[in-house]
Amino acid sequence: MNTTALIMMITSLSVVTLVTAYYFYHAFTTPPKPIDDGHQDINRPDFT
Amino acid sequence: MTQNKEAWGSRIGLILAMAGNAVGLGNFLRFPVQAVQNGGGSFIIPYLICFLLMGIPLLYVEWAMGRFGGKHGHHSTPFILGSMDKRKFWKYIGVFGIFTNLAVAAYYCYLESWTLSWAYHSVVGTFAGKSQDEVSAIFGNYVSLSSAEPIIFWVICLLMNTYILSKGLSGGVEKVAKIGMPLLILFGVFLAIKGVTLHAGEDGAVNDGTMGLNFLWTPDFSTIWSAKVWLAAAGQIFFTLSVGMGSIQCYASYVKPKDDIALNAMSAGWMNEFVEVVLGSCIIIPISIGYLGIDKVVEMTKTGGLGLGFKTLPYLFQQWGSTMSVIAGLMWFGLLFFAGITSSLAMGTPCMGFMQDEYGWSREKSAWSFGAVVLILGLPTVLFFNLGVFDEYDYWAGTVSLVIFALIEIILFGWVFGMEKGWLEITDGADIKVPRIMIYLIKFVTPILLGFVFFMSLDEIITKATDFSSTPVVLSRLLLLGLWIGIALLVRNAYYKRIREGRFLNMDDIKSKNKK
Repeated sequence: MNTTALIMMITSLSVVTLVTAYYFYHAFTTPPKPIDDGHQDINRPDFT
Repeated sequence: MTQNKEAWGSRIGLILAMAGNAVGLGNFLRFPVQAVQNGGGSFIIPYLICFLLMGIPLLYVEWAMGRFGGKHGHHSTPFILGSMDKRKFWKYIGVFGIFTNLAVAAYYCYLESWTLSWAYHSVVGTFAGKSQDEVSAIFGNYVSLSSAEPIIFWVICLLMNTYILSKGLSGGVEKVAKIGMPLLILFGVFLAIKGVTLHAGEDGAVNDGTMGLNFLWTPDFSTIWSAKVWLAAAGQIFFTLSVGMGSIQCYASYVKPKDDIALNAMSAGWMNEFVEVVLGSCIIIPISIGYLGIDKVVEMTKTGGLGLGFKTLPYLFQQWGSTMSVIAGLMWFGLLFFAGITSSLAMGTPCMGFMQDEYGWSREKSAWSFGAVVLILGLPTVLFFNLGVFDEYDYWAGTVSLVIFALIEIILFGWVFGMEKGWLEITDGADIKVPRIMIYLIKFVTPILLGFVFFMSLDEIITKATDFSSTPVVLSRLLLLGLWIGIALLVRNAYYKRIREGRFLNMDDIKSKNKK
């Protein structure tokens, strides 16, 4: 492979892979929020 | 009155389902071809810039709109958009969010059924010992309906989609995403390694796999200021992220009101980029160039990636020996099938959400009705594939409709709903810090880019709309128009039904009623 193509490829693939891994790591390691009562359907009789 | 009690079972299930919605056949067949045709390695520059300036803002907007609509009990775009402003016409703009999904599902499920069929043929050895022309002829005969097989696989595919949708979000869609997405990546990594490690002289290869990578990634910087290249990059970002369809809003409407959308949106969006840029660039082009050489592959990519994927790769896999050809064929068409089905399932949920919310239909009834409508709408694309009906659906529903809807929805979000409320909606419950520059991107940059894409395509849109040379194509265009009008009438009826039943559309409705 020529040097320019190699640089373009390695840079692009590394950036995309690292950013994806970063977000996935965050999503996996962030603790879930306390459970609420789901959707606030405004047409529910008890909606205030 | 809403019967819609759907919810996501887990965060990872939601992210994988949303990524599955975005990852489609285009990641493997369209992206590498677009790169080859638009400057090779330098295509990645406009492509990633369009992803940052247009793709990411649209992802934030659609996730935020979806969760906002879900808080008000809306799970489809007509009433999600309707709940964001008091003007009544927004619900008709939201019709695009159901129309696009139905019309795209109509031809996409047929495409998906090809992958199922080709996986089967790879296993039973149909392509074994065949020349490239013979494999190509098998495909030609298939789409010409020389036997009933394409119809059978298409119906099987529709039944699978409908059955999974009838099992609901956590019981159906999420389970498929949790199995399908990891398998897709596994198969993709295996084939990418095989593609990149091809050696000239081994298994009949005439070039190293790295020659394909070299060809794909060598930048032609003279093309970087070409409007055509930027248009191709913006178009690719559109198709690959599934923005402007209404399916992201629908999936996000089932997120709990205080749950994060910012990190989820980034995880799903970047996962799609990983599949497209990393895996998509390492399979079809390196393998094809390894066996056929650059000139022939360039010639073949002029007609798109479908030919390479369905006519050429099954032949090339045969060069790897009888066992490996079965494994490679099963993996290639298996990954295309998983990419397809996770997208087509996302197309079903907005239509189902609408019928459940507005007409009180059960999940099963909504799912089977969706399957029936897709069967009827898809029939012309199957029967008249060679007459251009498939391409006509793809152009109007899978291209023009997306751009129009995305342009209008971002104006609604940034300018009508307002960025003050919009910013709160995006950052509420966020597990990551969203950069404030996003406010300016959503309000100014993304609409301008979308406007550029739309106006640059306007000439082609007018030419296509005024082309009456083929009767089947004109009839299919009228069918799509009829579909849009039919959905608009259903939305209108649902709106007046809400009024009759005293059901609210948004918080403004509640405030005005309280004042009275």
